[in-house]
Amino acid sequence: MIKKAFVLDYGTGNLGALVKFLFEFEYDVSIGNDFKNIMGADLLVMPGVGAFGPALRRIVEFDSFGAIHQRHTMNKPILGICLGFQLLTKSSEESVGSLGINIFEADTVKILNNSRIGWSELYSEDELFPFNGQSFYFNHSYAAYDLDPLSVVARADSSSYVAIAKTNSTVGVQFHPEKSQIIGYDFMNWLNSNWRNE
Amino acid sequence: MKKRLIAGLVLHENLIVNSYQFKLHLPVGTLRHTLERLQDWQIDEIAIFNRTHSFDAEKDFIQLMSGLVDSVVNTPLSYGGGINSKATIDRVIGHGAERVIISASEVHSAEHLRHLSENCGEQALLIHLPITNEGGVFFIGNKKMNSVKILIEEFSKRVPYSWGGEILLNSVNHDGMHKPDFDLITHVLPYFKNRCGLILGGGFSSALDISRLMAISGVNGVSIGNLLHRKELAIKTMKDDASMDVRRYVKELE
Repeated sequence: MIKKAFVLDYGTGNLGALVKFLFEFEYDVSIGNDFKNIMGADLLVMPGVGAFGPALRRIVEFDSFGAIHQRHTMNKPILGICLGFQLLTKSSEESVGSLGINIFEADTVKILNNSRIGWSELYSEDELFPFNGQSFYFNHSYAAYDLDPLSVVARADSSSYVAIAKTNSTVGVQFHPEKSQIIGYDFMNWLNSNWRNE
Repeated sequence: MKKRLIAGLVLHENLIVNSYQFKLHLPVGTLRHTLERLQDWQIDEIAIFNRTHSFDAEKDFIQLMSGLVDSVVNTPLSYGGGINSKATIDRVIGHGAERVIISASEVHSAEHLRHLSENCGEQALLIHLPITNEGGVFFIGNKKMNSVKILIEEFSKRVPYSWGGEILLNSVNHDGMHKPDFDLITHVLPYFKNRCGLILGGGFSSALDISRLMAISGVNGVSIGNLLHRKELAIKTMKDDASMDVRRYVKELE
């Protein structure tokens, strides 16, 4: 069965690679901001290149804020990638004064000692988590550290910020699965399988 | 964070070329085939330097990506060639690059660098410093490129402390010469250490060289070019080298 993925467009970059990635999982992919698609798609993806403030302004401008919350409450899959994950938190130091979507009750803060660009290993306390010790591609200057422990799935190597968080069927990942080569595909398959079983 | 092996690909009139001291360029193949090969070998990142770019970086990049329409690019991609404004940065990233490569001559001050980082974030910028060694005097630029000489010390002031982007220090003299310029690294590195992440490039020929350079604190990775086109084993050898803290090969889950 063809599934529909809707990539939320908040004027930030590199949707092409993400769309191609989703095609690989036989998603019928479209991009936009409209309420009907946010609510109707099998998967809503919040993409990940850009800055918090400008992206959030677009979300508010297109009135997508409430729709994202509604979708989350209805337990319909949402995947926030990098900036997309940060937008799902309460706020970000990158844009002081802008309120995030607040599905994950945490503040996104600036990473000490420059950015995190490159490959980091994931660690989870769950022994059954299949990606313990596997490297994924990260590219960010801000991250969320203090999430409700129950929603933290994995953290990134020694930095201890949250790499994967989950609440209901909303998943936030700080890395880029679409740029993580083979392991990115494995991760997406795992995620799809988890969503199917919920 | 793992140290990264970055493929530095020089694009000349739509072909990937081997580069020698930024002067001589010999064709290797198409971008598409090179990219697919490097992805199969699990290179950590690909940086494309378009040396025959036009004045429209966005158009150049769209044209480049149109040649990859049938390929899956699942490796982080950086692109450089004529990028000189915030608007162009946004557009090139919008069309598929994770990061853009900006020439040193396009960075006028620390404030200007912050301005360029707006919208896309500091981490989306990689500044390329081609460094010429003239008898122990190091400057940014290269006569053949007719670029303006900038002293290292002067340029380093344009990079704020704890800036989130990265700088690629690339030796012009040693480019393609199979021998890194350790003098350059010793002399230039201190100017940027603790200000931002550093990538080293120019003349690497062996896993041993790369391993030594990766061990330097503050060095996030190395950019390798010609070496990758000579032998397939280059990446695998380096990834298998236990002394390097790099991402290891990954097999698909059963």
